[in-house]
Amino acid sequence: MGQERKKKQERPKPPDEDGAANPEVAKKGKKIKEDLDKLLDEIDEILEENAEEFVKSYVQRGGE
Amino acid sequence: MRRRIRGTEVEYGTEVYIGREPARRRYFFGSEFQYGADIFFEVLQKRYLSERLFYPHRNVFLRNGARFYVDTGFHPEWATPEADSSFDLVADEKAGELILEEVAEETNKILASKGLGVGVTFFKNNVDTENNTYGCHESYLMSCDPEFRWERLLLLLAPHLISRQLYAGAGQVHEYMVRGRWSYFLSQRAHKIMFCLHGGTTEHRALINTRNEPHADDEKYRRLHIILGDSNIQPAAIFLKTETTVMALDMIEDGFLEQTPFGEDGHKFLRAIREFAEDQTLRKACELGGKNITLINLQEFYRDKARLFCEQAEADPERKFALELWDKVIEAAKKPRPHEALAPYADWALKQVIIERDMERRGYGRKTSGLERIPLPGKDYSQNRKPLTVYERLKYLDVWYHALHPIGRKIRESSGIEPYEIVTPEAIAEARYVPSSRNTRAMARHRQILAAEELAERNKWTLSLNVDWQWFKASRNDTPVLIAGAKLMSDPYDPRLRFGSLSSPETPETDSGRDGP
Repeated sequence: MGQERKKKQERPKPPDEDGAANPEVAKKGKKIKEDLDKLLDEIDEILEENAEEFVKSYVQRGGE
Repeated sequence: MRRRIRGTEVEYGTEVYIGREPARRRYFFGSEFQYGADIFFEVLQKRYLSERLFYPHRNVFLRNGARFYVDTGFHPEWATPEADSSFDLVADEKAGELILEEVAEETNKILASKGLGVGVTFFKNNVDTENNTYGCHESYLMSCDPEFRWERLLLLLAPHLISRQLYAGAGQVHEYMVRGRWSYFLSQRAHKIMFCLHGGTTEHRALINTRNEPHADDEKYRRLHIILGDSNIQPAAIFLKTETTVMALDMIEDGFLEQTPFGEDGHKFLRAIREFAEDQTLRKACELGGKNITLINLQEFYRDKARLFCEQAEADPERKFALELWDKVIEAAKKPRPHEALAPYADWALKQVIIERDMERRGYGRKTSGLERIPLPGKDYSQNRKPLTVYERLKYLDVWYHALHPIGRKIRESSGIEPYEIVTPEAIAEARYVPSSRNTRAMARHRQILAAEELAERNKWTLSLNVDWQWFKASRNDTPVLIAGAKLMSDPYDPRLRFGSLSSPETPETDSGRDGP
């Protein structure tokens, strides 16, 4: 009954630990790291812009 | 394998933005933003219901059988349709996230275009910044057994419920009253549970909630209502939280699990759930049944029993998958830095990876006071702006991890870790329009809504809807044209389209009567 609808994906294999063995992997690894660093910088900006006010304001009524 | 209906009701937190500033204690679905909430419900219905149908109240059932409404404390709540598979539940719950984010974004655009700088963001978590809480409630249909005793269910199920946080905890940065002192919990709800057994949900939250509203034939079924779980973003967490509990209930109802070695003192379970939550190394042992037991030990017990139980039953690929995933997370939990191994599966673990990355980049640690300020290199703090405190950084990451918003996704992505997927994006996308389980009452509701749409279209009518789990009515100007009464809708496993006659809603009707007056 529709197992195809719910194909479970195997978690993608983690990138090679030993980048030195394969320069392509090393280059890709570096790019991934650069992208990640950019993302982390972006998050720093988001934090600086928003965190203080948000933490003061995020108060809910409380539900169930 | 026995079929069992399951579902979740997720209460969302909301933040209202007025211009670009968050508004404290203003509730988008409360009385002061009627206009905005009205637009939200309009957009929701326009996108996910025919324009010829409408709900006059803020209580909407969609074509996919799910329910969206405003609950206690102005919390919007998403209830999944009746599912008989945990895979389906994952797709249905994730579809809810997609829909709410999409509708919020559209609503905010409309409000902005009207010059009203008010917007809403949804948060799929369980605690705010003042420790108020809102829940993720699970429902599991059980058989009505005259021998049923709550105390017995407590002893057999609670050891599982208090230790599921291993994979199902959503993680929380907690600030203590002692200034600057903070800690990290595995679970957001663990410290909110004050009772072993209780029927309440706001003042008195219990390990096992004793409310029984089956929304079904109450002589055949009871609905177990679990309120101590966290809201999860990680699909593996949603899946395992649900499927392991289903397996435990199967074992209990079949008499396969008749006792545990974990003692008969419910209060020890209450203490243990908190003590486990306070230890990210997962090594904390609590005395239960005369032995020192960790939450890994508890999960191993249920996993081992479940494996034996499933071996005795007919082979089922979904169960096999669930047991293998259960194995994976237990093995991961035993690793020296368990949060790293568990990060693809559990929200608390992924969140901890994110937090540790921030600590590493910004040079602070677990022992740093929450009040200490962290200046960013190269940033100018001379004009009024002060560097953020450790607590502000952590709490923002903690809560926005759960945001139905691009920033939420960015924060989770910043971990560098891929989540372990349970269902395909296509299955989730489809679940916005059709219930994932095709053989339950959700499908009946789906068909009823489609029938109402068809009737309205054919006659160029507008119909108002009044729908509940066990009820369906479509009316034209207060006159019912389609109706299905509670008795007719009392079987949660019946997917067939059915209507009652207008004079007798409980009596099944033949096709010919459905063209209306």
